[in-house]
Amino acid sequence: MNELSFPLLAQAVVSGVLFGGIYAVIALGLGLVWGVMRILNIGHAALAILGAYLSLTLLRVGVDPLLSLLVTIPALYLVGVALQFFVVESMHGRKEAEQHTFLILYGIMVAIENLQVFIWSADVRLISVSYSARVLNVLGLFLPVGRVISFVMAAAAVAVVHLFLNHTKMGRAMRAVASDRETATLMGISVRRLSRVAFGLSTATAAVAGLALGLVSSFFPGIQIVWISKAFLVVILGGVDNIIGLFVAAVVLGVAENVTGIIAPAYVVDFVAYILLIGTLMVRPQGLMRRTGT
Amino acid sequence: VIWRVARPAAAAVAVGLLVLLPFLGPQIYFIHVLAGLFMLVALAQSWNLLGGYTRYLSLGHVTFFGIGAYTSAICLNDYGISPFLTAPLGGVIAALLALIIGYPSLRLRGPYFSVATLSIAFLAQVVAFNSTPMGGGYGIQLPSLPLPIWQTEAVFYFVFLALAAIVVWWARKMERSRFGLALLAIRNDEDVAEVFGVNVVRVKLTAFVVSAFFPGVVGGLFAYQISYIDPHSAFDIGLSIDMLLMTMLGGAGRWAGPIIGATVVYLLSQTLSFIIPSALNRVVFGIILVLVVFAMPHGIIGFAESFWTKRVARFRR
Repeated sequence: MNELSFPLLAQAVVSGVLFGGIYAVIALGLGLVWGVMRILNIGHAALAILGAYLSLTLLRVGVDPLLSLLVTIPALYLVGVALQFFVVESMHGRKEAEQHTFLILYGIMVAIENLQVFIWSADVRLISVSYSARVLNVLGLFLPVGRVISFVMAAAAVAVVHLFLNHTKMGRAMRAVASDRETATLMGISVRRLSRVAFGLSTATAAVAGLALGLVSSFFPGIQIVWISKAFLVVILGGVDNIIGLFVAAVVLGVAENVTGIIAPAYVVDFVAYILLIGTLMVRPQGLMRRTGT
Repeated sequence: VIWRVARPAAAAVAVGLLVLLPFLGPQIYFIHVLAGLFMLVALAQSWNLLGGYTRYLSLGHVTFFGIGAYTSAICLNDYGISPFLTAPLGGVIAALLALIIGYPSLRLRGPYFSVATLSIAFLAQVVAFNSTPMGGGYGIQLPSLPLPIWQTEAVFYFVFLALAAIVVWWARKMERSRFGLALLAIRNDEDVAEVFGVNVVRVKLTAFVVSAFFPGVVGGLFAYQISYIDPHSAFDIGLSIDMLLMTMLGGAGRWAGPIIGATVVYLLSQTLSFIIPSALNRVVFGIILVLVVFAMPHGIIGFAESFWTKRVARFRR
């Protein structure tokens, strides 16, 4: 067991905050779809990993990862709109719509994950660019440039969505739908159009999330399940109504993991995260369990 | 009236043929493949007991399978007790775990239950990876049956056939009982079921425990059959997906569903591996799941039934 000195602790806290940004942006996408459509997109992290692979492939042909977002964001936006259009909308009116949608999204997740294995193999990858390995030294703390970029990107995505939801007409309409679907419809909001945008926006943030995680953490197709569990944990802890709360929960998770990481072996960290998730689900599911008018 | 005689007779003939089959001198590969199929039928049917009849979609049923596998592996290696005796013990341990996690997790509805069970499967895998008595990442090597290979295969063929028959029989009996009706009531509307006097908590929990018991038994025998287990193979999330897919494809909440679904998926996966690269196998399964839910949400049975009634109705007019 390592000694718990102050610089080490401070370093872990800072690394945790930087890592928490990624949790926040993945959880944000998950929470958007949950909030507006009451759908749990279990394939969300698989799409994020898809974004990471797309950025990686573009990097190989010489496109800087940050520029690759110009391609991956629209591409994944379209994927989200397509999911809403072809899957969610076609389930309307079915008696077991919730389960069927979940099963379809689950099947899509399985297909995407294994398609990634087929195309890019199951090898462990990292998006590494010349500048990402450089390390900044701020007040005696080491900040790898890659991590800083990843955090800034993630935080920017969260901020943009936050501004969108609070300061644009469409964003406000989305929040209205999230809080009361029927009343929103009566107020003349086109829920159908709005849901397409919301799903698209959600998967578009997955593109940012993918790059953000690909820059700092090694990835392979199967790891998406770890990210989706943690994002789910963040959504449960932070709640979907409040993006700031979501961000705080994500940062807390990142810090908690990194601090546990210096005093305990790596697997304990995962163990703690899963226990937290199962425990929160079982003890305090109310926050998410409120059933909307059926 | 004819059906009353013909149906049991047909079932008896089918089972009798399957029992006689190994004595007709087929190829060893054939016996092996069929044993695998029976195992999947037993697993899918166990999943059906909860997921099919109540629509509590568990994504973590492989946990119970893995627990059974490790129980019999440890009992055989450390205490020298045959897995044929300890497999039920694995089932009991799996059922106990289901009892513990079932009480809190069955309060969760819809996708939350699925995510909770999924996380439990991951937790189990992490534990297996890091537990010394469970062999960590190296897994556990088991001695195989001290019999010639042909007889070994035949023994497992009969064992899995018997298990599949028991689980199917159980499901069929349950479907026609008060208990089965209670499960269906929960599936249709849990709140209404509760109002009408169904002890929802107890019924769900019982179904979960039973549906965890059988995979535990199957896992224990599976470990003996392949004589090597590790956290990847014993807690393979893919197996959870298979149970769900097979049941949904055949017809969830129908006793015959998992039989049909498991047969189709298993034959498909056996033939697919000749046609396309194995990495694409699961892609195809994912797409099949999507298509099944889209086109025939009540599975092959439901599809056939509605097709049949439409035809007959037209004919009668």
